[in-house]
Amino acid sequence: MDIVFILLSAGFFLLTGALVYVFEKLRSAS
Amino acid sequence: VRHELAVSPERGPCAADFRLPGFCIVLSGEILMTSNGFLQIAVYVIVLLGLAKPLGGYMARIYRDKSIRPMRWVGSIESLIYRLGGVKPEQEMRWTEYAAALLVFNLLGLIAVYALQRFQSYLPLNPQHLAAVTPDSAFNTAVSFATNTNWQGYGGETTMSYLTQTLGLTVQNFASAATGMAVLVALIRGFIRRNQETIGNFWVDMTRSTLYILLPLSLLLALALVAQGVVQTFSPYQTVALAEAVSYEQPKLGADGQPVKNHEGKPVLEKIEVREQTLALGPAASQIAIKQLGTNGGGFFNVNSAHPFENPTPLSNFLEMLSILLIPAALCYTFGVMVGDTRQGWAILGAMTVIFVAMIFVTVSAEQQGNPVLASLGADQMPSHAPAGGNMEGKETRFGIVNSALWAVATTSASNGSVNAMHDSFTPIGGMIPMWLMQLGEVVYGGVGSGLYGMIVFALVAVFVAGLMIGRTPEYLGKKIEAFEMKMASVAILIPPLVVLGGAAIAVMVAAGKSSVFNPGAHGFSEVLYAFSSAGNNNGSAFAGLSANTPFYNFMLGLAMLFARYWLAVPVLAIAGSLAAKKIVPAGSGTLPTHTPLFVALLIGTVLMVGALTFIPALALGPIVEHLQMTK
Repeated sequence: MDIVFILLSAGFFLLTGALVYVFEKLRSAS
Repeated sequence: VRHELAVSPERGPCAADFRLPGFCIVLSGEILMTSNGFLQIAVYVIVLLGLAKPLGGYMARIYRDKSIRPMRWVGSIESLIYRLGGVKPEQEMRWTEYAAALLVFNLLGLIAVYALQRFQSYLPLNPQHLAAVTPDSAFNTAVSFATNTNWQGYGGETTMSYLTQTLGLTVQNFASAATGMAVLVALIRGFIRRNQETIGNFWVDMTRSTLYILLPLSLLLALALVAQGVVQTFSPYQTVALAEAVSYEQPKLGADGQPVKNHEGKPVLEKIEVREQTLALGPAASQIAIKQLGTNGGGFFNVNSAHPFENPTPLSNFLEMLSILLIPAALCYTFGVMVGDTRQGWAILGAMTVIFVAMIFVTVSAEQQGNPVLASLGADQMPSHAPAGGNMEGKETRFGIVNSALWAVATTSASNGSVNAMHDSFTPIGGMIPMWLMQLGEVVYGGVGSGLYGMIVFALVAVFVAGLMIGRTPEYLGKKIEAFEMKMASVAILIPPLVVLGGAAIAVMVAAGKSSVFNPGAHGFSEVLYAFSSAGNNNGSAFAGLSANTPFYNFMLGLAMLFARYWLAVPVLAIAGSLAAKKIVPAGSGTLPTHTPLFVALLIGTVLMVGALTFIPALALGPIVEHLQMTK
């Protein structure tokens, strides 16, 4: 179970990192 | 329900048997409050606002990198930290780099707390030989403390070793608070910079927030708390003889663990006599100081600030309550100083204070009125020199109605999860106000940093709405608020309701969610809604009636905390980056002044309208129905 929760946490932060990328693209385009 | 609560002729306001001067009842409309209560609330608010300017000014100097003579020696420690960490303090970051540093730092902190909990049985400073925390609970707790939520599905004294409490939870209390302050400072730089791509250095903002603000204040508060009787020790728990033996009966259990039954099929009872009690101890004061100052709220002990070793006296209660809102309130003045117009800071602080004071009066009044069901049965719930009156269920007698209700409002205004009374035992209206304060987005003072950046997002929405009304491009502090900023503001405002309402809806639909609800009907729904409101706004307090330490709630609430924290911080940093790159336009005749009472009213209206439109339907199914059921 430990690996599941660590991967889940890391996955969330990666997803949030992707959000940063998307928002920056949005900002550049505006 | 006024007729049920009317003061009887024999015990009217300021009647002769009210010997204590503090128990003069003030009857004003539906507000029922003692003059003693008025006085305590007034003292609290005055001291809080009085400290906002000096502390806010000090913090502004810290973030503007100005020298402060008594703190010069800290500079060498700061430089050493940068050298050890390979940080170049003069190197500025774009908003994307700032956000990436924040995310990496927080992920590492989360994993460290998770690992500490899982390995605590092999690590030192575990005199009670506590076992490893279960994976789902460890995940929930690690997320909770990394996100500044401090939701606790566990009992501290029966779950966490001293090492986990100090090196894991206390360190995260500092780190998560500093993270919120860093995001705020980055946003403020967005307003004051022109045509720049950078918003500061995350590592510098974190270090300075911790070294110059959080650590010194925590040290002072911890010493004051120890002086009041809060424990601070690494000694094992102590077993002591009770002054008076306690005896009770309980069902006798057989070898299979099931109750033994007699020939009539009834459980066989055995008498238990207790002569000893184990007193849980630990390094509590150091953790409690930052738990309050950092608007974290995670208790060292299970009952949090209702525990006499966490909050022993009315003075410790006042100091802790003051600490909860001290930095969030002072940061408003910091904001004003940094943007070069302190009126802007006072305006936001004014909007927060108006909502805060109104909520205090509703909560205190609801609790002072007592339980309408008991009133209808003829129970006297009026305050006098002997009984405190009102609804005292779940409250500590050393704090009473006012300090319990004031604490509940202060903690849920801030994103502080500590409790000194059980919110589950509040009256429906008394419990609804703390819940609604969380649902407003934790912007009424709010968490350190996060409260003010949340309120600034609402201010952007307010100027945008005003701009629509007068047909001009909205501006705030000289920056034009355009489509990108509004998109980011919308994300920041819509994420918490999505998490709260979506999570609560799932929990009351699936068996794993419903099995933890022991109170049927409206109150049970309130408990679930409160849990998701708390996690989905990074507050951390609980109604406490819900059995939340289950894999389902640990997972769901963990996810809620993650989204509520980082999917707000990222759009706020994006706003900061966007604003920093813009020029500053001088105020014109079409500019809405944002330091006036009109703007304060507009800001209050925006916060309350968004909160009401989003959450009143859900509240109607919980506390509002429960109130109507109790008063029918």
